[in-house]
Amino acid sequence: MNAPTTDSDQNEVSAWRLWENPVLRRYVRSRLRSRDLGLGLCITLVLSAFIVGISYSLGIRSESDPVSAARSAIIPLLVLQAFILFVMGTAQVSGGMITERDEGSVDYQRLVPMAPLTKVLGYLFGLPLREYLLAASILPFTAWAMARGHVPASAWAPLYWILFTTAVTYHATGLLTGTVVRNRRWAFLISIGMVFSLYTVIPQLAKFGLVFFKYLTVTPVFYESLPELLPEKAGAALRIGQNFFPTPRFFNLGLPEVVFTTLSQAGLIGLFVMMLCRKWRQEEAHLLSQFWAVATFIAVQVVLLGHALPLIDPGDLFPSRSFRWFTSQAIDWKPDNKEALAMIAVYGLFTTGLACVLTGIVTPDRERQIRGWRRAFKNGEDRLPAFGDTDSATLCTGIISLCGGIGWYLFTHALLESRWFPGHHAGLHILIIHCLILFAVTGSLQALLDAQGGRAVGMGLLFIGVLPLMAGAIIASIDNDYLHVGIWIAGISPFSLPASAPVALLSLADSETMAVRPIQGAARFGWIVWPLISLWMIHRSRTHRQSLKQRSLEDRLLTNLTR
Amino acid sequence: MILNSAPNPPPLGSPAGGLARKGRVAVDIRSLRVDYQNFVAVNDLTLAVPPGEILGIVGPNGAGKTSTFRVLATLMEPTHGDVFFDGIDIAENPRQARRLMGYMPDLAPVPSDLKVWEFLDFYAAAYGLRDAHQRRQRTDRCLETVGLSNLRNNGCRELSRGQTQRVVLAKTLLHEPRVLILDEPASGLDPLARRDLRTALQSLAATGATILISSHILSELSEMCTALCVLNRGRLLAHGSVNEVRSQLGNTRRRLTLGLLSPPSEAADWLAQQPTISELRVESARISFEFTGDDEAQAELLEALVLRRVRLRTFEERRSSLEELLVDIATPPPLP
Repeated sequence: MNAPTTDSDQNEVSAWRLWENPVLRRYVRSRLRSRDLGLGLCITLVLSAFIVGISYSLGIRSESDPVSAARSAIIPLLVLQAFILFVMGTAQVSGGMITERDEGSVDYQRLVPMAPLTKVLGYLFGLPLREYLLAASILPFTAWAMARGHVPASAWAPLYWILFTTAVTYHATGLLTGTVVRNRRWAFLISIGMVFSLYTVIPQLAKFGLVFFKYLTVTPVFYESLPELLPEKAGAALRIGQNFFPTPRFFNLGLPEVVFTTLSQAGLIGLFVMMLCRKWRQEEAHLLSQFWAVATFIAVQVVLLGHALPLIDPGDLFPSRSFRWFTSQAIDWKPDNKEALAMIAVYGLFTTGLACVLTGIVTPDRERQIRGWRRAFKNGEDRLPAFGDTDSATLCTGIISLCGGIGWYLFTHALLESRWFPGHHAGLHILIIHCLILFAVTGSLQALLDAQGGRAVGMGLLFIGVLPLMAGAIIASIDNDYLHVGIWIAGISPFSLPASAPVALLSLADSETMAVRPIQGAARFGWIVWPLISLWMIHRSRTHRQSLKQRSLEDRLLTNLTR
Repeated sequence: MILNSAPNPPPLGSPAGGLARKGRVAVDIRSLRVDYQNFVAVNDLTLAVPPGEILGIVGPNGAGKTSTFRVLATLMEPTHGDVFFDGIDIAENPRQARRLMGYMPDLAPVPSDLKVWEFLDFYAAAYGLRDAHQRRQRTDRCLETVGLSNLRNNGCRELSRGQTQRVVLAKTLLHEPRVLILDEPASGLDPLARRDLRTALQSLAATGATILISSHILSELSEMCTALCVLNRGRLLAHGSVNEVRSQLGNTRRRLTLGLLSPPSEAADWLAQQPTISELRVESARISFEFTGDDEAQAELLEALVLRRVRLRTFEERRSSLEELLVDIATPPPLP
């Protein structure tokens, strides 16, 4: 047999030539077979025809205006397209990937000399091909409704573009969970849960100051286009309402909604694709490198602040503002101190949570560390590659804590020193405490994960994180006499630190209120104790790493001797 | 069959085959160790396989065959040790190694939603064959090699277990690998298909390809391999031709049956006292027993019987088959 002739680098398919992508072509064959596609197409076409027919006839009957009647069919058709692309498409991507992995095809694919990006793009656009075609089959109906309803291109073009980018975002989410989560059942549940969160739960954070998150959905662009899509009278009324609620602009830049949504979603898709490529390159690789984990964290802080800060002075950031628009008290509206404290706490909790997730991603487990040492010794090195997957994540965690502390402080500073809270000042000590809190939580998580593994972290979360909260809640609910003790016990949980920090640190908190004092006491206790525990755990994990290094070195020497 | 035109390699155990040809090394495994948490699946495995060799890796379940193969297939990084294909360190250059290697896992997957030709065409394209005509030629040739040209247009879901195995083998051959790693390739194959597989593999080996096959069915391997390697609990117990493996495993146990002209009771009493003898059975004029010892000890035993005036009429020896040897290896010794 001659030397291999097929797989030279020159012959490798470029990732960007999608039409030549073998994975995509494989799904063109399997998912677009006329027998399977035919039934789906029939159902979709019949349903679309029914929607157009019923909406138009009812519209004519009630509005007596062909333009408005035609427009009344648009939103139901869009909902059908969104359902096919978002729900069915994502389920197909996630389920298809899980099946591929279950059957072992993924291992086969890993051995094929295609670039990881080619494989990722092949699966991303190949698995939901049928759903794309079904959604496209509705286009003639929407085109008719839009033409008949005189919907301008400036309304439908951005909407369809965002419908597509949102679908890709969700499909990438499904692909990632299908690829990463090992358990079949969990993979499917997590995939659905992530998409559900991206669409419904996470955008709700916008109401607490984290307005950026609604850009991960189709909502801002849909909302902007909505007046042109609704029957004329309803559209006009909505347009008046929209003038009361100007949409947030990133650092007051005049970027259109569609551009910013595209950029936000492209960022998320890019992040997911990078994670997937790393997994394709090496199954045991971290989802993100330490460098990209820090970069992602900083990027999230920038977009959160970029959207939130310009909305503080007009007052549009405060949730109570939107409620008051509908009441007669709108003119003399003023945000409440507690509202500001809650928003700062939510920002802190989110920042800490994200820092923990990224810390978990970049911290190597024991096996990975051993492999890292083995490879280092084999290459004649005495240390692990700096910021590599096997290197300690302590420094990375420290940088993330610092960046998170700064972001949280900037938010606090902007809120506290805004025109709404005269006389209040955010000193630099707040920045130090914020960094300390983040470091205490992420540092101990990283050290525990590094030295003891995921099981120990789970036990730690339960007994040190959750148990004090539960015990405190029970004790506080017994009687008012025990309220202080209960709150204090709940407050010593590291989970409480980001939430209790604004109450303990800021002059906005009313120290006369009964519950404030124990919160402040517990927080101050936590600021001293948790960083110390964190430092001690980091020291322990360092010792553990040294012993692993020593063991790996001894193993290597022994192996060389026995050869 | 294009690949069948080359002459067959020398049979198992012949001087020209197996280790006798060891000069260059195609697959070089050095001190390989694979750990799963605290469990050592493969422990200090060192093997050198020359080009053109068909090496059968045998061992009971849990011996470490699949872990070894996954490391060789670059699907898993070993805890310690190195593997080289034609001098290329597969851990350092997995992409280069993958171009040289074809891997067929146990229970190989075939997508049920594709036809046989579509499945092969997909992988041919993935391996860089961009011209449709070339792809067609290559897939047809590989289907011919495994004897499945007639099933080209069938759906993969319609294939039997054996046919699936052969389609996957055809896929493994698509990029003409120099090292073939086949995990239980013959499981589910009927005798005819096994014969075809054997012929195909021997033809490939004759062209210089190195083939590693795992199985726990020794008879299947001894038909097609030029060398054997026995693993148990992650350790290499023996490596070489069948005879070499047998002697390396210290297989000195055999069943001896004596046909007697004199009454068997006296001989039986004496034999029962010998430490090298067990499972003694006495029939009317026959005695059979398990004897543990080398040929020299066996000759001495027979001589002693003759000196004790035992009149031997017939003598029969039956050694343990490799299959039985494997069972012996896999069975843990009884607790004292």
